Amino acid sequence: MKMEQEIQEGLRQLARETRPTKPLPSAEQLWWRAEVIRRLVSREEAARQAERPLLWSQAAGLFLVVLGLLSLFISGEPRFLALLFAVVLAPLTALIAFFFLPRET
Amino acid sequence: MTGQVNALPKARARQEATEPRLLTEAEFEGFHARTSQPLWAYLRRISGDPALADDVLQESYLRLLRHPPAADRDERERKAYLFQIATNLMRDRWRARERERSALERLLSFWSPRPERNAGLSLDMGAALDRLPQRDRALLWLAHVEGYDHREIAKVLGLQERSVRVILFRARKKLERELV
Repeated sequence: MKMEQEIQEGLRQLARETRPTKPLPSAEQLWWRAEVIRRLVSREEAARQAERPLLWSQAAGLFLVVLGLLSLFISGEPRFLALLFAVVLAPLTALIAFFFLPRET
Repeated sequence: MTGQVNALPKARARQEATEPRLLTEAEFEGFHARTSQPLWAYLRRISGDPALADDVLQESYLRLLRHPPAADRDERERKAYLFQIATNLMRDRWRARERERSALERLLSFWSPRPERNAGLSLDMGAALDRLPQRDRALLWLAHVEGYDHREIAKVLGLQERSVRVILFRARKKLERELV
């Protein structure tokens, strides 16, 4: 028990003597560094969110193209592709571009 | 119906209490003033490297500001949370250093035997502490300098609460042997 007390006192004495050799960064410096990091992170997050509709519309466009090509191969009729594009693919692509692509602000 | 109406603000208050809340600048300033010196001493003593203590201290506060503790935590719990962040960061640094060092140490072990203890150093608490494993240093510091109980130490160091008592006892015995 005595030894335990001595250890406790010795460690506390050591803690009192353990002083930084150079000044520690102030609270204000740390606060503003954290603020800069926070702003950078939120800007990156906003950029990622802005890219999301573009990715979705690209994926949808690719899916429609694949669908069209598959229809062509399955039907074996060249005129079908032209008809499909005019009736389905072109209006769909225009709609996707209109509603999902990010607009310039 | 009335019960439901009353339950809503209570539920919101409970949710707000457990959600992280950003510290105001003034709150952070006070918290920093009270904790930076003890945290630096802890990091300095468990790492044995003042420069590393400087780096980890700074990173710990930045991480605390980015991931603030739940709003219902008191000052003591916030401080324990800060020490937990610092310990995790220090552990990451140790692992990185160990990987770099292990290859070199294997090469140099033939020329650099363990430092021998001399009579002058045997009474030096700092030197005795430096000879202990890093986890034991952290345990002893948190228990005897910061005055944390076993539950808090377990949380800070990521240990089982039940095993803290045993590990702490062994660490104390090791330190005693180093001092005698």
